[in-house]
Amino acid sequence: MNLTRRLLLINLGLLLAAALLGYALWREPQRLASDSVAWRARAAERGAVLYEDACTECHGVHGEGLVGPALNAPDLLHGEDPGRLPPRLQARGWRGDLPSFLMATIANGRPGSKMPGWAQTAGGPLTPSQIDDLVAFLLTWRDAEPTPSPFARPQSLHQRSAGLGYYLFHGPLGCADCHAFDNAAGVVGPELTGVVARLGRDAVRNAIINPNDHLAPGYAPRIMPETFAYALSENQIRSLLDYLEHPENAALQVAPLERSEKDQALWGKMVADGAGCFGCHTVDGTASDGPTFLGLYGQTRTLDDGVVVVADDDYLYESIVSPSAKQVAGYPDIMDQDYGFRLSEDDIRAVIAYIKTLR
Amino acid sequence: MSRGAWRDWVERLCAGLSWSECRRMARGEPPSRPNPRQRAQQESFWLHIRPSYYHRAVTRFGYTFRLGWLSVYFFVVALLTGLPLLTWYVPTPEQAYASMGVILAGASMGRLLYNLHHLAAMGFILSAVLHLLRTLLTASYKPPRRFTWLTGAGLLMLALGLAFTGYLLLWDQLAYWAVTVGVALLHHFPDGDWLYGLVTGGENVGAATLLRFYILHILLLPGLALALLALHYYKVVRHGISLPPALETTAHENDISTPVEARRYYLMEVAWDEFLLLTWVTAALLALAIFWMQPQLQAPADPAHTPANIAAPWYFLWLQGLLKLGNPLIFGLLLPGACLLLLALLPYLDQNPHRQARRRPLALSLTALTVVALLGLSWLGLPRQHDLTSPARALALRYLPETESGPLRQLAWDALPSGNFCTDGQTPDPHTPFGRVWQDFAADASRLPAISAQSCILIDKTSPGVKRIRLAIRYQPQDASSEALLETAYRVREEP
Repeated sequence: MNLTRRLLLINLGLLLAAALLGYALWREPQRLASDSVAWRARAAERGAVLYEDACTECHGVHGEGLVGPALNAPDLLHGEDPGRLPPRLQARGWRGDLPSFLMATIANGRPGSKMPGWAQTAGGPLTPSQIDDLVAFLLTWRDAEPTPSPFARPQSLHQRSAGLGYYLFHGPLGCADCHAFDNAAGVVGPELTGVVARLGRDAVRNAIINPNDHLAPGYAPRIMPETFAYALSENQIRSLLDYLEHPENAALQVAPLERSEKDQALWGKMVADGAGCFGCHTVDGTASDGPTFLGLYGQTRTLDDGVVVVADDDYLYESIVSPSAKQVAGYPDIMDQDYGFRLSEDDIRAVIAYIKTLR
Repeated sequence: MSRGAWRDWVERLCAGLSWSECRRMARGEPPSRPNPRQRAQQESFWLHIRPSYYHRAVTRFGYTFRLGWLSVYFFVVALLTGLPLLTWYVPTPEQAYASMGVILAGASMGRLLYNLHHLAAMGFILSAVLHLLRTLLTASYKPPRRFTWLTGAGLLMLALGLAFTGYLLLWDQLAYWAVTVGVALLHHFPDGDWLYGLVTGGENVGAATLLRFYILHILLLPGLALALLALHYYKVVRHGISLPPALETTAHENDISTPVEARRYYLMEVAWDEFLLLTWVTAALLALAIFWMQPQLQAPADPAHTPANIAAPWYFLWLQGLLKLGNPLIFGLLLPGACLLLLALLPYLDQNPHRQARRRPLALSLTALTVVALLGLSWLGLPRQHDLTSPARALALRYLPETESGPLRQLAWDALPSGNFCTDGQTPDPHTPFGRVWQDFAADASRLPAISAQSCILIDKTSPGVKRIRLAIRYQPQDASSEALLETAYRVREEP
C-alpha cells in the first residue's frame, strides 16, 4: 500500500470516527430523555409485580384502598396547585416531595397502623432498589390521566359518609320512624326521596336544625324535635345530607343483614373486583383461567376426581376459602388458598350473593 | 508566530526532529545524514519504548494480525473510559444499581462511555485469547521468549479477573447470581470456607463483596495488569517479534539481528500502519457502541430471590460447561486450575526446539483438541431451561424470562393488544408484531409433551399507563399430575 493511499485511509478513518462522535453528541439530549423514561418505566414494571404481590391485599388492585388508605387518590398524588404538596402530605407535615414521602412510608411503615416497615432495615423483605421500583409504579398513577376503573371506589369518602348517614337516619336518631325514604315508610313527616335535589343542601340542612322555620305544606308544626341542632355534629349533618342525596352510596356500606339483596350483590361485585376474582373468572361466559361466574350458581359441576356436585351456597363458600378441596375438572389448581383470610365472612357471603345474580 | 518560532515548536513536539525531517519522514523519504531519527528514537520517552525497526517479515498483517497491539489498545480504551465512570459509580448495595441508572440513563455521554468500556473489555479478552492462539500456532513461545509467554498468560488471567469483577458491579440479578454461583465454587477447596470469606467478606455476596470486587476492579487488577504489561512489552521489544517459523526454524539462545535490508523502520513506516489501524478500530468501536450495543440492566440484585435462568458471561461458559460434568472440586477447580497452570508453563514443558508446524505434531494436535474442547464445553455451558424446570415452566420462562426482557416485554407498549389469546380460542392478527410473537408461542406450546394443554397470553390494562401481560399454561403430561402456572409481567407506557 503506497503512502498516498494509506494517508487517504487514515484521513477517512479519522473523519468517520469524528463524525460518529459528533453524531453521538448531537443525539445525546434525545437519547438521555428516552433512556431515562425507559429506565423509570422498567422500574415501574418491576414495581407493579411487587405491588401485586405485597400491597393489593390492603390497598386494592387499583390502589382504591381496602384495609389501607387509597393510593390511587388525588389527595395523595396531586397538589391543589402546581408547586404545592398534595393535601395528605401537608396533613402529615411532610416537607419533602412525593417520592420521598412514598419511599419513607413504604420503608418504615406507619407506626400505629397495620402498615409494617417493608425495608430490610426495618425488618421487611424489600431492598432499597425494590422500594424505588414500587415508588416508580405508584407514580404511574400520578402521571396517568385519571380514568377510574368501573369497579374502583373513587368516592369512597362519600360512600363512607353516606354510610354513616344511613346509620343515623335508620338508627339512633329515629328519622326513619317518621319519614319515608329508602325503604323506610314513615308517614308522620314528609317523604324525603329526592329532597336534596329539589331544595338544595342548605335548605335541607336548615330543615334539620330548624325544623319549624319552613314547614312542608300539609304538615303540622312542632312535631319534629328541634334538638338536632345540638345532637348532631356538623360532620354528622353532612353525612345525613350525603345519604339523602345519594342513598345508593350508603347501601354498599351498611351491615350485610340490613342490605337488600340487590345491594348485597353490588357489594359482592366490588369485593370480587377488589380481591382480583375477575383476573381469572369472567362474568360473561367466556373462558378464562377459572370457570366463568355466569350461570354458575345451581349448576352441576364435575370435579377432577369424577364426583359431580351442585354449586350451591356451601359449595361456593368452600371453593372460595379452600379452592383445592373441590377442583373442577379441566381447570388448573392455581387459585390462591388464602381468600378465607383476606375476605371477611360477610364479604364472602356478598360475593356468593353476587354470583347468584349472574344467570 | 514567526517562521523560526513555529519550527521551534515543531521540533519540541516531534522529539527534536526538525520540520524538514518530519516532512521527509511523513512522505516516506529516507533520513538525512547523520540520521536524526535514531537520536529521537533513543531520547524520546514514547519512542524509546518502541523498537526503532522491525523485521520486514513480522510487519505483514496476516502474520500477527496486530493482536498484541489490539489487546493493548482495548486495555487502554477500557482504562480511559473507566476513569470517568468512576465519578458516577457508588459501590454500595443500596446505591450501586441506582448509580448504574445514572450512568446509563442520567449522565450525559454516560451510556457511550459505558458501552465503550464494555466493548473494550470484551475486545481485550477476545484479542488476548486470539493473540495467545497465534503465538501457540507459530510456536513463538519457545526460547528466548518463554518468560514473555508467562507474562502474557498472566495478563490473560488478569483480563478474565477484570471482566469478572467488573461484572458484579452492575449489581443486577444476572450479575449477582452469576457471581454468587461462581464464588460458591470456592467452598469446595480444602479450607474453602476461609477462602470464600476472604473473597466475599461474609456469608453471602453482599456489601463487603461489592467493595472488594470494586477495589480489585479499579485498583489492584489494573495496576497488576499495567505492571505485567510493561514487563511483557519490554520482553517483546528486547527479543523482537518472532519471525515466521519458516525463517526462524528453531528455538535459540542468542537474539538474531535483523539485516539492514530486511528492516522496516518504526519512523515512519510502521507508525503509519499503526495510525491507520488506530483510526479504523476506533471508528468501528464507536459505531458498535453507538448503534449496535444496547446493554439493558436486569432487575436489581435481590439476594432473597434466585432467578430461574442464571447464565455465566460468554467468556466463562466453558467453566459452566465443565461444572455440568460432575464433581465441582474436580471439574470446577482442579481441572481448570491444572489446565491454566499447564498453559502458563507450556514453554518450560515443551522441550521440542522446532517451530515449523510439521515438526511439532503433538503440540498442534493438543492445541486443536483444546480449542475444540473449549468450544464444546462452552456449548455445553449454555443455559438450558429444561435442565432445571418442567417443560411448561421452561416455555413460560422463554417468553417472560426472569433475568432478561424476552420477546413479550420487548414489544412496544402500543403493540400489546388487550384480550385473552389462547391456543384454543381467540388469536391475534398474525401480521402484527404481537401476532408474530404469539405464533412462536403457540408453536412452542404445541410442542409441549402433554396429552392436553391450553396456553394463553392474557393482556389487560390495569391503569391508563400500565398493561399487564400474563402467561397461563395448563398442562396434563402423559404420566404425571397436571400442572398449571401463571406468570405475570407488566409494561409501563414510556412517556416523557
